[in-house]
Amino acid sequence: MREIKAEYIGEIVYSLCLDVSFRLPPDVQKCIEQALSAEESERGRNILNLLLENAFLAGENSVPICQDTGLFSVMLFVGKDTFISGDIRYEVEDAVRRATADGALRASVASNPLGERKNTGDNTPVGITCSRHSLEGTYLGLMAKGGGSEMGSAIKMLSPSSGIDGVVEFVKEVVSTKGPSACPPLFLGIGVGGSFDLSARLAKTALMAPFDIDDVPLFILDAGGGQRSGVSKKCEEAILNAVNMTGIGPGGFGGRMTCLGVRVFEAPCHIANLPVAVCLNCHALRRKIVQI
Amino acid sequence: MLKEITTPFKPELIESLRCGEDLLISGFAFTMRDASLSRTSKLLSEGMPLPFDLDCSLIFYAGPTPPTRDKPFGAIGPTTSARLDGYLEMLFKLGVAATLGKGPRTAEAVLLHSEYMRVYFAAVGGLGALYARHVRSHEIVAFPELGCEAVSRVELDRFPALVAIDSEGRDFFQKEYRTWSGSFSD
Repeated sequence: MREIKAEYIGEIVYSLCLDVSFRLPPDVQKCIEQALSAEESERGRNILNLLLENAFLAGENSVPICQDTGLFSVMLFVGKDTFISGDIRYEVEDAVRRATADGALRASVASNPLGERKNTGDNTPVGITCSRHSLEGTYLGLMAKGGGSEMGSAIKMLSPSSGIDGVVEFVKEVVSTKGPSACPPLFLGIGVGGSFDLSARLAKTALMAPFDIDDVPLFILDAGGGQRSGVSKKCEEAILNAVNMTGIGPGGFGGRMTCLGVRVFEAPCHIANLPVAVCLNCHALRRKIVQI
Repeated sequence: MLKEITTPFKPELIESLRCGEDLLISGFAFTMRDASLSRTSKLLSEGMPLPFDLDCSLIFYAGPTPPTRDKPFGAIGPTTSARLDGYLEMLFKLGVAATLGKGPRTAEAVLLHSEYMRVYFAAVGGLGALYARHVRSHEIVAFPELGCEAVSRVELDRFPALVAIDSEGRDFFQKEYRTWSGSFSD
């Protein structure tokens, strides 16, 4: 058995919080650069260039990429024969608290959603998920997700007969109504199947894998009980085409490049259901996975 | 050369701005968003005085990151305007001349612009590090307990924005989406 101490996880969470807040991931950078050559709108191209300039300034000066430094979520993908000792929640939240203070990150958590919504002041509590996969190696993922793009996320329980067309139509409807204010060009994580809750988990997890390679690391899929088949990839392509015909464009100011990447994760589901969850992410897809 | 405008905004200036115009905005603005607008609305409904004067002002829908050692904040940028549309008429009645935020607004909000002869400026979401170079100072003027949602007075320095809804109610976004929707030209 391999033991991983919770304190060690805390140390990594601390550095990842600062890393994702200040530095745009290389795959995201690459996607924006590719979009530049495909964008037909001049204003759209100007905005894509501004996104790259903003990312450069943020990285150079250790300034947040966006004033909405987001809600942090921690995802542990634990391999076989491995256990974690200690208090994960305590260590993770202590790390987020310290990173928020040291990095001058914005505190964006409202304590009681239906009450006075008092700001907790330190970005805690933190959502932590821990899933197990049957492969070697343990990985830690951290995501900082802004409220503007999360606002556009949606879930719908479709009938099995809806099929790919139904999924594409639903995603297009979500992006058309919520996409313009979600800081496009967007990244879309789509969870299809599973259950009500699993589809949402799959959708968010789908955003964790790099967008500049075709294959998704197996531990990400395996840990979430997901799969990405040839049909999933066909669905990704159909969604990308449909969404890039909405005209929303970079920054929502009109253009072709409304979406930079789509990932569809599927999971087996009940014979009566076809759950679909759409996780919208802004152009600043701030997340990182490291092996621990 | 882009047109440059400075706050406070007189009605003649507001009425001269045209939908789709790119501008550089300078001068003082107030930051407001969900919690501070809710607090303002509550004070008004209780007949209480407001701790700020919004006549001819610009409201910047924003919640910046905290101050750093040498700067008033690290990043600042627009938040979603449509989410705050329920408070727009209240702001116009208080004399607000213009709002600055991101994204299209609801149909009802678009109409309010022609009714009150006001404008809406749109900026790009997710450029907080870049926009921080166009905002010079930051001073909390009300509700400090709201943290990043407090009302603050910021000084804009040639802040780039677009007239997205003009005082005749023309809407930049709807026009653009009609232009760009559909298949790629090739």
